[in-house]
Amino acid sequence: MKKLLLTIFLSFLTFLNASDLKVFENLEGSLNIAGGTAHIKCEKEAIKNIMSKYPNISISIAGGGSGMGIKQVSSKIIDLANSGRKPTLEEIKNGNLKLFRFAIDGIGVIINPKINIDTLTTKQLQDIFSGKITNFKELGLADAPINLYTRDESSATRKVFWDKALAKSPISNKARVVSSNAAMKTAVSSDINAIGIISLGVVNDSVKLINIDGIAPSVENINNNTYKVARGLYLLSSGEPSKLASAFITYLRSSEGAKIVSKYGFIPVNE
Amino acid sequence: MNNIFSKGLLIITLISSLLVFCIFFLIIYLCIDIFTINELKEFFSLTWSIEDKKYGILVPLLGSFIISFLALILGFIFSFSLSSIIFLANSKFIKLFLEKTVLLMATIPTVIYAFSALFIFVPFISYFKPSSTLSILVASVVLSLLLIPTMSLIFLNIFNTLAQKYMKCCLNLSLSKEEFFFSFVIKNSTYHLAQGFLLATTRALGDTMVVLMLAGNALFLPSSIFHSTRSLTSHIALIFANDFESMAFKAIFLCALLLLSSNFILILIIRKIKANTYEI
Repeated sequence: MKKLLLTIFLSFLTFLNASDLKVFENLEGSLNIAGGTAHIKCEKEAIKNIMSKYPNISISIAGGGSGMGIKQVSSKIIDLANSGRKPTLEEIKNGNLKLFRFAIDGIGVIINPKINIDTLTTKQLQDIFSGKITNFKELGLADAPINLYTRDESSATRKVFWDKALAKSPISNKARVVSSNAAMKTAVSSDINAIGIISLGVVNDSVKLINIDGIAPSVENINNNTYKVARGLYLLSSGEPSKLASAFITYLRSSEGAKIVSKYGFIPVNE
Repeated sequence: MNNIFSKGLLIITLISSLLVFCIFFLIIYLCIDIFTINELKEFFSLTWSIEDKKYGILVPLLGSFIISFLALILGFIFSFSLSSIIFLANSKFIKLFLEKTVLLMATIPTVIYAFSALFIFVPFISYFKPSSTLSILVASVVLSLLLIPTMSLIFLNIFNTLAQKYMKCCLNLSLSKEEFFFSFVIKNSTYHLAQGFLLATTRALGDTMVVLMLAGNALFLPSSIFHSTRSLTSHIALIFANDFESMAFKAIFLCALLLLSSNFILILIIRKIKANTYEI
């Protein structure tokens, strides 16, 4: 009986899956996506689902950062841009951009798991990132230099963190700059004195997320608006999206897409 | 047949030269706005901060030279020693092993060197000096690994060419292989060694991946090799995604112009040295 129920349940899931992927029926061709690096993992899973069912569709995805994505889609070099921020009014006007938000992502502060600290106040974060606090002993820990990591100035992760967590207080020019969320994870996990910032969708056990003012950067806290350092994840097209691009957006916003989005620590949205 | 081949080569050379000039003029065109005297002065300052509208490129400029210079010194010492050992070794096995190792090193992509260093060399350095994980030292050492094959193969080629022509004659004069090497080869290959060194300089200045991944990319003037810094190439890679119209975007074309000019000057020096050097 149990087996039968399980088979029915799995068939139901397959049916749901198939119906969500139905938007790609009778479509073929290629779709190029680039930009924000936070989107990549979950979009890759969506692409895998699409391309294994529809081999005539080819979808490529690349990083480069939100700024680069916006620039490339505006110049029609790519079909869809990934952006971790809302484009400026000028960018929207110049590129005739259409915005499709499909998820909400938190930005977290990460440290090397060997550092024994769980929470920092906003003031402490401002002092660390501005270079006033340069040693862990100033935070009540053992004497060790703080190695500060940040993202480049075209990164949406950096911009949102600077706006919402640091309240636009300065970021020290001694901070080391890395070019993607994945590179940030590698840098912080291989440096025992590291503090950095990252998209929550990219975090795994190799780094430790810390609370800000005692509030954990969790999906629940972002959802109920207690953890404020969050941003929308957007897909952008220049003008109306092509049929294939439109189907991709629809799929990411479908129930199957929402499951993928949730799996990677984001909050799915459909608006 | 030879005529057709020569003409084909000439056409390809002309097209390549034209493309280089086009790139050169495009870069000048894209940063032409900042060539007014007042603007230019602002770009040669130490502060880069897009939020404060300050676009000083001196830190990446100096960063490029510091990292490249240290890598070249290390690379030269290793390459010279390695090519000397290969040249002087009596064992055929050692000769072959070292030669093949150098050739293998030349085929490894830059990103593999940088990745390996990130997981092996960086934790090793941080164990001894926790504040200098991504630093000038780490980037320079790994960059020197990239330069070793280029320099070693050039040096070895020079030594072997000289040996082919003059070694028999010197050995007949009762000079040992070591005496021949130190008193004849080294003395007669100074210009060629300088050429190899300058050629490696162009590679060191133009590298992006190693410095982007290992130098830390911090934008302050370093006072120690254990500090982080940023090179011109990584600066261009990191800032490129900014607004097309902004001064920040124009400033990175000034960086590109400086890079291209420095490499152009180095090539001219190499040509000049070659013209003044007798054929081995």
